[in-house]
Amino acid sequence: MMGYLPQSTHLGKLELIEVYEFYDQPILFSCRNASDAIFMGVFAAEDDNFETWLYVGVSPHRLNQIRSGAIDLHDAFFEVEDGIIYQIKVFPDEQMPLSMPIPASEIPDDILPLPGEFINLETPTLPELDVDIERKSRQIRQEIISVTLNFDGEHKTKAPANALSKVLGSFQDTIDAVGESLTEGSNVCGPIPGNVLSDMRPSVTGMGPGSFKLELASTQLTNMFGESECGGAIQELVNLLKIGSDPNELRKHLIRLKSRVANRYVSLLESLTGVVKEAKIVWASPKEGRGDSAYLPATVARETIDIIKQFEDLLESDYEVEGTLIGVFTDNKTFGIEAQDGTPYKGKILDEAFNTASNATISKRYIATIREVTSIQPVTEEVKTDHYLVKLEPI
Amino acid sequence: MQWPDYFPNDCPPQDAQPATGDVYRLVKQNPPESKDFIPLREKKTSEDFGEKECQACGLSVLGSAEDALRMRKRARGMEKRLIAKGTLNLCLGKIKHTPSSRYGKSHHTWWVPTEVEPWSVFHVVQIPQEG
Repeated sequence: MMGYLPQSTHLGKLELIEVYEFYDQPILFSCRNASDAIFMGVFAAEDDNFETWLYVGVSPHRLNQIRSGAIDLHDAFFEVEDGIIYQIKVFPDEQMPLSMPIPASEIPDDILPLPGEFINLETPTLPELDVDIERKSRQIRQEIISVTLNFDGEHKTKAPANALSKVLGSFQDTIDAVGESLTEGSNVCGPIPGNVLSDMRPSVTGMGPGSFKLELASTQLTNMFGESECGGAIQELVNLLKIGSDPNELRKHLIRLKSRVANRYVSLLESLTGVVKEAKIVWASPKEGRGDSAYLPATVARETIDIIKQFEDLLESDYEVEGTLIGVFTDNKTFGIEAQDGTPYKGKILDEAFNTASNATISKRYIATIREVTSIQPVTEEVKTDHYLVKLEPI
Repeated sequence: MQWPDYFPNDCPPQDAQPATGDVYRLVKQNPPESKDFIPLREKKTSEDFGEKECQACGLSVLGSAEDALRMRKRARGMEKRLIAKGTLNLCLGKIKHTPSSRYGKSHHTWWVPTEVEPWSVFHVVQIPQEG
């Protein structure tokens, strides 16, 4: 509760994290301000004119040490990381409190907690700080995705790096493909940076045996309305995960999102199956009311893969390629075009393009509309991609 | 029982019990005075305590003198306070066990009706220091 703590000192707007001693009000507690600076606070002295409270800045790691009893309360306030204690005088008549930074060495010992007093809480982590990704998302104006993976079997005690790497890579690929299908652009979220494990606070946090949590933040900031294209892509992915293995819903969504998304989504699910028992994704958005979560057991992931692989007919997408016509064969209705980047496209000419193609000039430049159809071979399960010429226009 | 006007609706809460038993409170005066029994809500009239509003209308009392001793060692602002013992009865209001693993298992919140003078049922006691 904010009402318990002073709000107009240079510590900022304080709110409680945890209370360790309470007497009419919190008298020993941890709190944080709006920019997430953490403090320990204690009721230190009183006389007829004012109360003296002490606040010290603490890092999350040190707070965990204090909570778990690795550091006693005296040292928590005396041997402070910054060397500074904030002394706040609170007056009985509700006038503004006075705050003053003081070198820790100048604080009289008789207002510090007695040596040998420990908090001794059993939980070694700080759940309030770990879970509040909505708050963090609003602060950094970026979409945040928290992915919890429960590893199975032999992987129970540690997250295998190669598996994590595949999951992350597939996740990025899927988000990119969804974003592309929604915006006709590409890479709407930007790449997950190489330093993801430091900058994006995405630490791999142990949450009990076999459970790992990754936190990813989009590189794209939201606009003034708190919206981002990346958020739209994440919403679609979370929707897909929530659909699970419902064939009708999957078909409906994947037809809209097109073949590339279907392929990438299958890859994502495949990266999860076999190593992960279950996955949970929580998405937090800076935009109020936006955000969602999905839970995916491995059994559902496997069923979903099987179902999507049956949707061969929907795994297609149309796109334009600018390039040089290198061949048109009217007898077997096939074509060849080399794109500007050197990529060759060969395949069947569809009826609607046949007239134009049969009168086209070899070695001239054209804009070709190509239909890419991806199918999975029934026996080998190999992915096969065919190209069809839908339209051909001279430049 | 008549509760102070500033108590919110449903305060004391439905699960509060008639006050009974021996409890301890840390006081500045000997004998205890009315100013030792002012709820935080009366001291900070303009603050917003949100969901803790009802608790701010009550007084902290402890079922164990050891919890009072520990509190004085940890928060030295309490160090000079005296430990007063009171025996509550049905006429003295409502009480709720509000323990926490974080701040002692014997913590209770006591809501005092307007007609009760809480200081009159408390007297300062000497508690041997632990360890």
